[in-house]
Amino acid sequence: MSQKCLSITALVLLLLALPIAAQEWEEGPGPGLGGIVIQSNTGGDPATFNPLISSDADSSNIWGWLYPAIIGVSPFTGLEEPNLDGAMAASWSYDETGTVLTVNLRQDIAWNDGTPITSADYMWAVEATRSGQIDSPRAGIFQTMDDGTPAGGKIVSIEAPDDYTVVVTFSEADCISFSDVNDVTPVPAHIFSQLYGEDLSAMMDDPRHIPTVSFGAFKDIEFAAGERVSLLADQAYPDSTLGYVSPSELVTLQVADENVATERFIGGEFSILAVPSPRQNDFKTDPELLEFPRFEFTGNGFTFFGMNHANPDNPQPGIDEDGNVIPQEPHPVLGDKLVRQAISHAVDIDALIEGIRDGNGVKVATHTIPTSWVFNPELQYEYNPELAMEKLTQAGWIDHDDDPDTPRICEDCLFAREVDAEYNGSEMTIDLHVPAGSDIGEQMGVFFQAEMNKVGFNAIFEAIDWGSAFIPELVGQTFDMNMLGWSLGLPVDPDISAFYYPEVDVPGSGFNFGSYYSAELIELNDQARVVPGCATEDRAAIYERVQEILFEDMPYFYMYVSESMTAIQPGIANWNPTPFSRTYSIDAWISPELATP
Amino acid sequence: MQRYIARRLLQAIPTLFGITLVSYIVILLAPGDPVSLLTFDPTIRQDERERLAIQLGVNDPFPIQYLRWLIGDDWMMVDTNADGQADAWGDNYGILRLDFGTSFKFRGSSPLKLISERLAASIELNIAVLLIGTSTGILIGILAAAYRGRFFDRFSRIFAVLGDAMPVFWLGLLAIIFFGIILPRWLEPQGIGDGRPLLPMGGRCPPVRGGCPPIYARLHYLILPALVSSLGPIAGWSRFVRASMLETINSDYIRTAHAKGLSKRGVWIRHGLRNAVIPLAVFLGPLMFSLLGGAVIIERVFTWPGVGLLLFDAVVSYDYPVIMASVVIFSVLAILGYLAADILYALLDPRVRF
Amino acid sequence: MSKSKLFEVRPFSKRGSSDGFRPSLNLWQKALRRIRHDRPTMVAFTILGMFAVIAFMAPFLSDVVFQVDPVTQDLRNNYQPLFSPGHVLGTDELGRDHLSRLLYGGQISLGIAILGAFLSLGIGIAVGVFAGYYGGVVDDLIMWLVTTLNSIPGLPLLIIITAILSPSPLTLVFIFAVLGWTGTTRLVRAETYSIKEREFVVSARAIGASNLRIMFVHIVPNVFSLLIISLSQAMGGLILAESALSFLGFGVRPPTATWGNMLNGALDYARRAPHLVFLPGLLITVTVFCLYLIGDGLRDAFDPKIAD
Repeated sequence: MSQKCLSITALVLLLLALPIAAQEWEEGPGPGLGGIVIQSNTGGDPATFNPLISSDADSSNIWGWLYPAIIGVSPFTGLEEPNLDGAMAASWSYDETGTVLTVNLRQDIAWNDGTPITSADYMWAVEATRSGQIDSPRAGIFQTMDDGTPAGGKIVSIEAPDDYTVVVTFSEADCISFSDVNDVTPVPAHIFSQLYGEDLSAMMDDPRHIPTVSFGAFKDIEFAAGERVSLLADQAYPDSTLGYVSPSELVTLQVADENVATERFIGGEFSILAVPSPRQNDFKTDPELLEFPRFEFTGNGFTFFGMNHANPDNPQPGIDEDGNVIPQEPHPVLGDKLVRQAISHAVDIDALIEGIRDGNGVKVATHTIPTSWVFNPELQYEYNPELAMEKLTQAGWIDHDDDPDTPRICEDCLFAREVDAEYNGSEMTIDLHVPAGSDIGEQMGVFFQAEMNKVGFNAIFEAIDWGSAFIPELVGQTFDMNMLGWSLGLPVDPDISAFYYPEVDVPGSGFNFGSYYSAELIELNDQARVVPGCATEDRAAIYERVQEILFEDMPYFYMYVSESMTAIQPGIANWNPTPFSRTYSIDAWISPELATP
Repeated sequence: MQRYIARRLLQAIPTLFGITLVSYIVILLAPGDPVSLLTFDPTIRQDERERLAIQLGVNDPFPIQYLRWLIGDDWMMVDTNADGQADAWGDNYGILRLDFGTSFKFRGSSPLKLISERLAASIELNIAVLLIGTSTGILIGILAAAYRGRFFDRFSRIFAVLGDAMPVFWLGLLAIIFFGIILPRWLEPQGIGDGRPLLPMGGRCPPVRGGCPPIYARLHYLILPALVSSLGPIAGWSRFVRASMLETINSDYIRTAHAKGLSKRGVWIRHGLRNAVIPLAVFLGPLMFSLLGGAVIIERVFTWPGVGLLLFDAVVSYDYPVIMASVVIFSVLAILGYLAADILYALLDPRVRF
Repeated sequence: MSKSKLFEVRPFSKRGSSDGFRPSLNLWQKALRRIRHDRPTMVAFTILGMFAVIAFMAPFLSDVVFQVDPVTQDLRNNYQPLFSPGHVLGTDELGRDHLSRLLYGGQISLGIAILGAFLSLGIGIAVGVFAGYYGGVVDDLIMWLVTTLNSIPGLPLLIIITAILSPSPLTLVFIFAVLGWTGTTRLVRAETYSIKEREFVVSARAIGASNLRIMFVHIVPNVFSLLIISLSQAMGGLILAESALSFLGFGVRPPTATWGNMLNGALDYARRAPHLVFLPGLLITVTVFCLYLIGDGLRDAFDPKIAD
C-alpha cells in the first residue's frame, strides 16, 4: 500500500486553505519602508542565538526568523506541508515498510550570502546534534548517539544521498515520529564548519554568537542585555509575501511586567501584543480599547489538575528492568476511579471558565484540544454535587454526621480494602497544589478547594514554589493533586505514549507523574501508532475509543483549553493572523509610526 | 591615615568570609536541588543526571562543596565520570579568583559578564536618584528648619512622608499610566501634543539600532524611574537635614557666632549648613551601593535593565551561580561603601582623630 | 538628676538622647507634652488606633455586623461594584466579599508588621546588650555577624529567602525579624558600652545584682526612648516590604488575604474594577503614612537638642 499519507492529507488541507492563502495584500510603500515593528517579551533575554543549543522560547522567538525549517508547518492548518515559505522540503514520501522517509528539497533558496541551501546544511546540524559534544535538548530523537550510547529516540540514521535529498530511517513505522525530523534546524554549514568545525563544544562557550549569514525575512541581530533584540529586514529573502520585506526593522523589547507591557501597548509603544489573559476582557469591553483590532483563537495548551493514582508515600517506577509492569499501591483517596469521577462532578468548570477566565476557555474532558481531529465535544464532565456525594458514598467514603462541610471518613474504601484495613476511619484529605506566582492558578486553587470541600473532601490548598517544591513533588510522584498547564507543539497529535505509558512512570523523571496505567489503553494507542497509511480517519476511529476510556478513568482532571487573544495597533495593514501563527505575514506589514518619544 | 585604611581593610576580610558563608548556606537550604531543576526534561536519562550531579559536586559534603566554590578545585583531583574515583584536575578557580562558574540559564555566560552588562544601567539610575534625592531633600530640609512650625515645614513634612508611604510598584504603575495614557489623551483635544506618551513608559534607551545614545540624549527615559525612586530618599534626607539643622543652630557655638554679631544668614550657611551636612557624607557611600541591589522593584516596573532585575530573574529561574555572584559582589561593594564613608567622615570632621 | 549634655560625638548613633543616665521623668514628660501639641502626629495616632481596633475586631465586624465572610466564593457574581446589595465594598475576582477580605487582610498585614517589628527589636536588644555588656570575644563574634548581615543588601537577601521558604504570614514575621535586628543591636550595644561603667550600674553591681538584672533592669530602660522611635518606622517599612514581596511574587500566598497581595492581585483588573486596587492601596498608604508621621513626631519629641 502506498504510504504517501502525509503528503496527501497535507494536499487536501492545502486546498482547503487556499481561499485564505490567496488573500489580497495591500501594496506597501516599498522595501524596508513599511515602518518599524515593535513587540514586547516578558520572558527574559534570549539565552542563545544558536538553534543547535537552544532550549527556551525566548531564544527560538529570535533565531526562528534567521533559519529555515527542514519541513514547514502551515500557519493555516498547523500541519506539515511541502513547499511552504521559509522551509526546505518540496515533497516527501515513505518506502513500503513505512520506516524510510525520503525528503526532496527545494532547489530555489539560498542563504543571504548567495550560497544555496542544501542537504549539507541540514546534515551538519544533524551531526552536531548527534555528536554528544554539544548540550542539545534534541539529541533524544536519535536511537543512538555517534559514540554508540543509547539516546532512546526513533531515528536510526539520517543521510543525504545528494544536495537536495535527505533520507531518514526510523526504527519502527509509526505515525508520530515524522515531526522529530523537524527538531533539528538547518544551519549554514559553510559558516558553522569554519566556526566550530574543529571543536563543536566551542558553541557552548559563545552562545550569543551573532550569525553573519541567515535565511529569513530578518537578519543582523543587535542585542542589548535586558533591553532589546533588534533585527533588520533582509531583502534577500526569496519567500517574502510581497516580493520584498516591508518593515525596516523588527524590535523585541524586554518588559518585565505583563501589566506594564499591556499599558505600554495601549499607550502606543508596541505594534502587537499577546494580551495577558486577565486583560482580555478589557480589550473586548472597554470602549477606550475597542479601537485595537484583535484576534481571538483557541490555543493549543490546556489546563488540568494532575492526580496521583499511586501511593505518594511509596513512589514506584511503572516497569521493572525487564520491562514488566509493576503493580502499584493505590493512592489512599485518588486511587479509586469513583473518587476521581466524584471530583469531576463536584467542581463547576463552567463557572470557573466564566468567572476566573472571563469565559475565555473551552471546556475539555481529555487531553485533546478543540482544534484536534479527535476532539469529541460530547465528552463533558457533568457538574452535579449530588452525584459527586453519591459516588463518594459508593466508594466507601461516608458522610458520618450528615454535614457535607465536614470531611468524609473512610469506611471500607479502596485503600482500606486492598492495602491497609487500619486506614478505615481516616479523613478524605487531599493536598491541592498550584505553582506560586500565577494569579489565575492561585484563584483556581482557591476555587477547587471550596468546591471540593462542599462535597466532603478535606482539600488543603497551597500555592508552592515552582522549582523548589512543585516540580520536585510532581516528578518525585509524592503529590496528590497538582495544577499544570500543558502546551502541545504543532502539529497536534493525540498520541499518549509520552505521558500515560508505564515506561515514563519513573519517580524523579518521566512524565507519567500520576502512575496511571491501563492495559487496554496502551494496546489501543500502540495500534493507532502503526495504522498503515497513518490516515487520520483510521487513527481517529481508534482514538474515539481511547477518549472514552480516558473519560471514564479520568486519569487527570482536564479543565479547559485557553482562548488566546492578540491585539495590534490600528492602522497596521496586511495583518493576517491564524490560530497557528499571528505573525507569519509580518514581512508584508505596513506599520504606522509608533509612539517613541 | 594609611594605617587607619589598612586596618579597616584587614577588618573587612572576616566580613567577606562571613558573606560567602551566609550566601552559601542560604542557597544550600533551598529545598530541591539544582540537578533536578536543570534536567526537568524527560529526554534526559537518570545516568546523565547522576553524572551532572557529580560534575556539579552536589554530592560532596558541605565543607568540601563550599571550599570548591570558594577557592576552586584546580589544585585537586575530582571525579568527572561518576565512577567514585577522582580522575582529573578540577577546572574551577573559585570565587576568590573571580570564577563564579557559569550561569545555569544563560549557558556559557559567566555571572560576572552578565552583571557587568547591567552595571552601567544601575549606576546611571542610582546617580540620578542620589542627585535628585539629596539635592531636593537637603533643600527641603533647610527650608523646613528655617521656617520651623510654619506652613512650609508642615506641608513638606506631610508631603515627603506621603510619597514614601505608597507602595512603590503601585506608584510606578500609576505614573506610567498617567504620563503615558491619561494625560496625553486628555491634552490632545486641548490642542497640546498628539496623544502619544509624554514620557517613555519604560526602558532605558529608545528602541533604535546602533546602541544606546549618550545619556544626555535620553534623559527623558530616566525621569519617571528616577523621580519615583527619589521619593524615599527625599523624605529621608529632608527630615534628617531638618533635624541636624535645628540641632546645630541651637548649639552653643552658633549662639556664640550670633553673639559676635554675624548676620543670621551668614551664620546659617557658614556654620549651620556645614555641620549639618557632614553626617550626610556618612550615608552617601552605603546608600550608593545598597541602591544597586535594592532597586529591584523600580527596575521591574520600568524595565530598567539593571543588576536588580538580573538578580530577580536569576532568583525566578534558580540560576544559583548568578544569584551568588550578585550577592557577593553587592556585598563587597557595600563593604567598600562603608569603608569609603568612614574615611570621608574622618577627613571631613576635624573632631575625629586616628 | 542632671541634665543631658549638649555635645557628644558619636558617628553612627548621633540621634542619641539618653547618654547614660536613668531616663529622667522629665524627658518622657517633655516628649509627651510635645507630642500632644503635634497635631499631625496626634491625628496619625488616632487613625492608626482606629485601624488597629477595626482589624482586631475583623471577625466580629465581618461576621456579625455585615454578615459576610472572606472565603465564600460566587464566581458568577464577581467584580461587583461598591455599594452592591449584600457587599458594601463589592466583590473580588472570585466573588468574595471585598470588605471582609480587607478586614481580615488588615489583620494579617498589621499583624506581620507589629510582630515583625517587635520581634526584631527584641532580638536586637537582647543581642546588643549581651555584646555590649560582656564585650570581648562574644562582642567580636556578634559584631562580625552584624557587619556581615549589614553588608549583604537587604532586599536581594529577602527575595532569595522568601523564594526559598514560600512564606506563611508567621514565617514572614520570622524572616523579617531575622533580617532586621542588626540596626537595633548596633545602637543598643553602643549605648550599653557607655552605660555599663556609669555610677548607677557600678553601684548596682556592687550591691550584688546579677548580670541579667543589670542588663535588663538598669541598662535596657535607658535605651528605650531610642528604640521607640525606630519601632514605628520599622512597622511602616514592613508593611511596604510585605506588599513589595507580593508584587515580586514572593509574598504571603493566597488564599490568605493581606493588603499587599490584594493590591498586587487586583492590578490585573484595574480597568474593570478600580475599587479592588484603590482600597487596599489606600489602606497601605494611609497606614504607612501614619506610622512614618508618628516615627517622625516621636523623634522630634524625644530629641532634647531641638529646643521648643
